[in-house]
Amino acid sequence: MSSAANDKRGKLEEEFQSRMYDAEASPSQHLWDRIDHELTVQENGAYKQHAGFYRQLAAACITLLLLAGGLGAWYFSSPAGTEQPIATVAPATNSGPAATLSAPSEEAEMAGAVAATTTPPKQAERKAPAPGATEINPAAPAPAALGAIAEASSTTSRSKTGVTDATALPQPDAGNDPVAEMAAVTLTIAETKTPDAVEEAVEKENPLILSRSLRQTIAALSATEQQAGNSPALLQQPFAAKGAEAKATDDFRKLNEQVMAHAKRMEEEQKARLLAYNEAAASKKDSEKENSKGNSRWSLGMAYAPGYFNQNIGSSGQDMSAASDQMSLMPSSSSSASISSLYMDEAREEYAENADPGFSFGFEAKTGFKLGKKLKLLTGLGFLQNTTRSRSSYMVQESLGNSYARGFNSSGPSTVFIPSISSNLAADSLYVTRTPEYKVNQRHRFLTVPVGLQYEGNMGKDWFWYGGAGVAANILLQTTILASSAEVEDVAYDLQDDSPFRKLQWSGNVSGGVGKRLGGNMSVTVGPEFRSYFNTLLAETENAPLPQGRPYAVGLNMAVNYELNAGKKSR
Amino acid sequence: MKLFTKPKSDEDKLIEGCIAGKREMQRLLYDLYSKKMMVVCLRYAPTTFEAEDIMQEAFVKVFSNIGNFKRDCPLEFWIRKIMVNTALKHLRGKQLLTVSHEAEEVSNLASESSSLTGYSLDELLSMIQSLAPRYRMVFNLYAIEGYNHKEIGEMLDISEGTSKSQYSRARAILQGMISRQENNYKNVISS
Repeated sequence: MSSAANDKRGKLEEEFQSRMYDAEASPSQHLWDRIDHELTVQENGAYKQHAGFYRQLAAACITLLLLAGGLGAWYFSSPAGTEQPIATVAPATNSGPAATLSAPSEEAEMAGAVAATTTPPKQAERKAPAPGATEINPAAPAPAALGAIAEASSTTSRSKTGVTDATALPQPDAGNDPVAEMAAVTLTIAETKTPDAVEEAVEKENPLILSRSLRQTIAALSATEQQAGNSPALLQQPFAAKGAEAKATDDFRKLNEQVMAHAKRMEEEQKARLLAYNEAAASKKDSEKENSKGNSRWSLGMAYAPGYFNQNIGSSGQDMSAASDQMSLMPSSSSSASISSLYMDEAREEYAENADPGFSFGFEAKTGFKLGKKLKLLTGLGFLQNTTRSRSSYMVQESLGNSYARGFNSSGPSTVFIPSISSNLAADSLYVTRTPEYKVNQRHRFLTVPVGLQYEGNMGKDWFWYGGAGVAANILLQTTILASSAEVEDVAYDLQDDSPFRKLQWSGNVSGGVGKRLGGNMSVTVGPEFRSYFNTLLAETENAPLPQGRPYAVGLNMAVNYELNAGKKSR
Repeated sequence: MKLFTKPKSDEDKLIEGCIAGKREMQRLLYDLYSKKMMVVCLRYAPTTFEAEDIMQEAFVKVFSNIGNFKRDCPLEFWIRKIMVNTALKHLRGKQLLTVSHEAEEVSNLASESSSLTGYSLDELLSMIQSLAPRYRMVFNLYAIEGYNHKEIGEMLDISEGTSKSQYSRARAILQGMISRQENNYKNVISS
C-alpha cells in the first residue's frame, strides 16, 4: 500500500485516519460460529473432491487384500490332503521301506476325478442307490448325504491301507485293481455329495413353492403399505390377476407419482437432518477442543504387513557332510539302511535346494506416544505368520528316537525336515524311500510385541514421510509342517510342546514410506519394511543337518493411524 | 540441527497452525484481529449485518489462503488488505458503486477548521456509512487506508480524475455533516 498524496491531505484526513485506523469494535458472538461452519463445509467439499481418489485407493487395497488372501488360501489348501489330520494316515506295518510306504496312486486319483466330473448330477440322482449307500430322502437330505460321505470317506481311508474292503460299493469288476477301486470310491462320493442336488430337485419338483412364497411376500408388503396409508391399489392385486394389463398404465403412473413424491420428501428430510447435524457439530466443536488439548500425544493404529519370508535354509555355508557322518553310523549290515543313508543325503540336499521364500503377513495394533513434535514411540501387540516352502521326493520314517517327534505320532512317514531338525538320529531308526515329488510348507505363527520409534516429516499440507526402526519380541505360538502328499504326516508344535524351534525370537525392523492425513484425525501410511531375525529359527543348529541362516522378511507395511483428541488435521 | 535457525515467533507458530488447519489456531488468529477488522468492514459496509457478512467471507479467505502469505509484510496488513478487497468485491457485486448525486448540495459547506475530537467512534462510523457507496469507498481508501488516487482508480476501475473528484465530494459532504453537527451543538448550548 503506497502512501497517499500527502500534499492534499488535510486535518480532516489525518484526524479520520488516527481515529479510525486502529479502532476496534466487537463483532457478533455468532460470527466465529458462522466462519467455523463455513470452514467445515469447505473442508467437507475438499474431502468430497478427493473422495473418488480415496474410494479407488480403498478398492485397490481391498482387492489386493482379497487377492493376497485368496492366493494364501489357494496356496495352503490346493495340495489335496495337506490339512489332512495325522489320524487318517495309517501306521506302517510292513518291514521293508519300499513296501511300507506305498506310493500314492495318481492313476486312481485321476480316474476318480474323471468319474466325478463326468457324472451328471441328474444321473447320480436318478441312479438306484448302491447297496450300503444311503437313499436320498428329499425330506431330510443333509444327514443322509453326510452319512454317505462319511461312509465313502472311511472307505477311502481303508483303501489307502491297501486292504480291499468295498462292501459298501458296487464293484462289478473292481477286484483288487486300485484304479477301479478309487474310481468307484470317488463315484460314490459324487453320488452322496448331493445336498445341492437334492435342493435343486426339490425346487424342480415344487416350482410353485417359490412363486407362492413370493406372492405371499408381496401380499404382506401390500398389507403393510395399506396400513401405512400409502398403498397403491395395484400392489393389492395379485401378480397374475387378469385385467391388470388394462389398468397397468394408469396404475403405474400413479405409483410412479407416489414414489417420486416419497423420494422428494425423503430428500428434503435428509437435507434438513444434514443441516441440523452440521449446526450441532459446529456448536459442539469448541467445547470438544478445549477438552482435547491435554491428550494430544497419544494415537492408536493398526497395520497390515504382507511380504516374503526367507528362512535362509541352506545358506549358512554349514557343511552338510556332518550329517552324512551321522548317517554313516547306521548299521552297515543292513542293505536297506545303506540305501536309506544314501537317500537321506539326497533328501536333505534336495530339501535345502528347493527351499523358497514363502508368504508372510502380520497384523499389529499399536499405540503411539509423541516424544517430540515429529518423533513417536510405538508399541503394541501383533500376530505374525511366516511360511517357507520346499519340495521333496523322499519320505522318512522313524521307528525310534527323535525326542521332538515322539509325542506327535512320528512313527508314520514324515518329510525329511522332521528328522533333520532332530539331534538324536538313532542309527537304526530311519527308513527313507523315494516318492513322487510333493510340496512342504513350514508355517510359523508368532505373537509379537513390537517397540519402535518413528520419525515424521512434512511433505505438504496433508502428506508426510516417515521412517522408523524397532525391535520385536516374537513368541512362537505354533509351528506346522504341512506336506501335500497324503502319505506324509503333518507335524504341529504348539506353544506348550517341546519344539526344536526357539520359543522366543527377537527381530529388528526398519521401514519408511509416505503418509496422508485424512479428515477426523485419521492418517494412512504405506511403505516398504525389512525385518530381520537375530537368530535362526531352530534352537540348536549345531546338530541340524540342514544348514540354517538368520531369517528375514521383506514386505509392505500399510497402516491406519488415529490421533486421540488432537484436533482436526493436527500433526 | 536447529542451531542456526531463527527461533520461531508466536506469529509464525500461529500462521503454521492455521496452515495446518488447526481450528484452535484459527480461532486464536480470529480473536487477535477480529475487532480491528470489524471496524474496517463497518467503514465499507452500509450496515452492521453486511459488515459481518463481509468479515465472514474475508476470514474464510484468510484461512484458505494463509499458505500463500509470503511474510514480506505484517500479518495484520495482509489480513486488512483481504478485508478491503472483499468489501470492494461485495459492494461491486451488489452494484452499489454507482455515483449518487444526492449529497452534492452540501458540498460547499466545508469548514477546514472542524475537529473530530468530540466525536465518538460510532458517530464517525455513522458519518462514513451515510456516504453514497462510491464516495465511501474512495474516502476510506484515500483518507484512512492511505492509497493514492491512481491506485484507487485501478482498484475501483475508474480514472484517477474520477477518484479525485469523488473524493473531494465525499470530503465536502463529511465536512458539511461536521459543520451541521457543530452548529446544532452551538445552538443547543446557546439556548
